[in-house]
Amino acid sequence: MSDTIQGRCLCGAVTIRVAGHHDPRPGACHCRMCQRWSGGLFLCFEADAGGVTIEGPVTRYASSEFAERAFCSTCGSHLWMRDLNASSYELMPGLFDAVLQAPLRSEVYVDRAMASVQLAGDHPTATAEVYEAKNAHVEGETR
Amino acid sequence: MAESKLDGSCLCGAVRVTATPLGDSMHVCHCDMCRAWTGTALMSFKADPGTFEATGPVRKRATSDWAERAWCDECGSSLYYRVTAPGPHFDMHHVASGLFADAGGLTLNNELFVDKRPGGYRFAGDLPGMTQAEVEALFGGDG
Repeated sequence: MSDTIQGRCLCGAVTIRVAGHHDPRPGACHCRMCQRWSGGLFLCFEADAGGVTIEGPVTRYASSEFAERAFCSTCGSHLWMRDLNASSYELMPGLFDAVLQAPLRSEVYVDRAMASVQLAGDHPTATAEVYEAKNAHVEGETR
Repeated sequence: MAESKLDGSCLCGAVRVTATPLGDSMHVCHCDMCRAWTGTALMSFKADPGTFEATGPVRKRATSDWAERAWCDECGSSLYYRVTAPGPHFDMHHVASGLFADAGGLTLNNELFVDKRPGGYRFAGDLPGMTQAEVEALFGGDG
């Protein structure tokens, strides 16, 4: 999709405009890092970096050597996770009303999910082993 | 499970938290505020009053007239939602489940604001839920 969508954090200090290509379908990740950051449910959708415009106070945390996670400096709303070597953002769907009805794209680290947190549906899934085998550099696992 | 103290930490490890769950279950909240704040939904459990403790760079913000939300100022991990309005729920901490390995063994068994859950995903199983109207009748407000 390439229609323009707009998102904002809880307090409204940060706005994100996506004017380029993006896939509104969320991917879920159950790795321990995503659990710790999100509180338990991590979803993100991909958008080409060239079309993303961010305004407002953003704090960036380098969560690994190649990735960052960003949040609003004023209210703590999660904004994105990003592989710094990639030309895209993994944006948080909760900021954007326009993507909320898009169906799940995928679910990874399914074998690491909290025991009672299972997502329904027949979307593609991958275990930690399968996902890490396909992705040489992933922000991985338990600590 | 439950009734025993849980130790957890945020993604970067700067914030350490301890809490004793009130009961053996956790819930997920789909209200607009929790969705914008976490980017998905807030998964949390109620802490037995007086048992929640946190050390490190905890940042808080009053996000409504009746509650505040807290996060790690270093990495942005969501930490808790706390009721600040006087009344029977005053000072109740809803602690982010992801701070604890496998959510401390707690079972997800309630979806608050279930009618606000995005259409793109749902949890497996038939979880009990409460609509916005039901939650507001019980607590007198959202967020």
